[in-house]
Amino acid sequence: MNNTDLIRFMQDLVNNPEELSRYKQDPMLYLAQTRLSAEQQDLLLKFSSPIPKLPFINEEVVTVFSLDISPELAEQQEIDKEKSIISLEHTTVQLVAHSTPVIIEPAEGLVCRLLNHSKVYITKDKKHVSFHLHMCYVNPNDPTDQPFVFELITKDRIAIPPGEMVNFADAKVIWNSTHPVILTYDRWIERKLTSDSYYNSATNELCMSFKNPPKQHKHD
Amino acid sequence: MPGSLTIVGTGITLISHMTAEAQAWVTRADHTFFLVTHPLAEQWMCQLNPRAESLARFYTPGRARLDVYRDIAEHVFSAVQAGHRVCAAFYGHPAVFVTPTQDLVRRAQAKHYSVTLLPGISAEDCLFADLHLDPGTHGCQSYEATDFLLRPRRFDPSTPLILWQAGVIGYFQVVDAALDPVKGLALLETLLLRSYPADHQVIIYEAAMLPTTEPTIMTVPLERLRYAPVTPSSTLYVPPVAPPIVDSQMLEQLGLASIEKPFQTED
Repeated sequence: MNNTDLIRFMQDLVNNPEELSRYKQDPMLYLAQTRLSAEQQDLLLKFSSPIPKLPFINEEVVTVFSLDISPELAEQQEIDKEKSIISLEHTTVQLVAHSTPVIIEPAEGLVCRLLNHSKVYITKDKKHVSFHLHMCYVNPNDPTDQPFVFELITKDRIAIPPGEMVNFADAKVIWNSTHPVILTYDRWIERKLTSDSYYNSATNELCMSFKNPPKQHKHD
Repeated sequence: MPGSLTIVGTGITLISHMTAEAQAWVTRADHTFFLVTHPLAEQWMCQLNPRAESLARFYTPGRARLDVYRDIAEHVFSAVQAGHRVCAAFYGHPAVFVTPTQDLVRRAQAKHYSVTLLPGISAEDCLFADLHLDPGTHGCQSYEATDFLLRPRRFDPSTPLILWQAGVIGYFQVVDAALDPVKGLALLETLLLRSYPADHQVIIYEAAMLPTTEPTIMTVPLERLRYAPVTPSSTLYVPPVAPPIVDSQMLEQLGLASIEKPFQTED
């Protein structure tokens, strides 16, 4: 691709600091008002993200992965089985690694554990579920690997009215992924859960399936 | 007409950082060679001078970097020997972390060719601006990270410490996918922990490469340095643990004892 226009665009921004400031405030909005092609705009936005990282840290949640979490509760509560499945489709989950980058190798049936303070909240009407989970992962194929910790939090947890709370401390997690899952240090990632995500209030089983969002295609 | 060599820096940020004088040389030289790190910077150089030649082709994965530098110097110098007015433009400041520059200057001087080195904006200049660090206040220590480990220094934890190339410690090849910075960072972390507390906040820094981008500034506790997301472009900045102590006797001898505020004494 010939990027003459792109370089001229940047030259103009450098020559006009007020315009450069406007661009930095909202690059997408600014670009939408330019004559740059969609391809050039995409390229500029790609370059405008932080400096390209090495392959092992430059990707977010790269592809589909799923979690099947089952707390080993001492006693199950009596819940109407017909109403026990609560769909989590479209629920927005935030993932963040606070202290280190997290790299999870592709795995089928990898067993992990949740840490203390991992909680699931169910509304009184049993229609909504939110959670704050602290996940611990150790690469089973690397004896020298250290435990990685990251969090999975439903975005609207605060907005959901209080109800029942289930402690998921030490709950078993079955992790399936076809590609590495990589969380950059202290960078929040949001993903919507897919249709096969649900919470079973009868068994307290929590199943989550993540997919990358579809690529945005821009048109002139 | 004997050949001549002018070595210039493109600065770190595309377009914004190149001086007018450097840009004139890139545009007007008989033969311009350049080494930049961003694809848009490469295209910009070719716009400034359509005959400009990239030196990036010497960087093939796995090659020893010293071999690359030698080949670059030989290639550029051959144009000088052919009688051309040659401009070599390097990313950043041409005399800072640019090994071929020293080689080229030495070769040119040995053969009595005219050689000029023009300053450019270096990554250190960007760091001073982005981290609001004034080296004139309490000094500044600056080392290449591998060299810092290989040749232990008596560095001062009360003075700002900058460690360059922290993402390629002990790695002397052209950067490729095999690069794993964790081992080198772990060694650096261990060394620094002898002088700084474990929770001392250090900064992983990368200057902005485009005028449209912001610098990368990430703070991590020193004890987690080995897991920090560094890249080959990353610089480590270790802030001082405390202000340097003032020698009260020297304060007296300089007649500054009555001025209290700017100085912290041992008393």
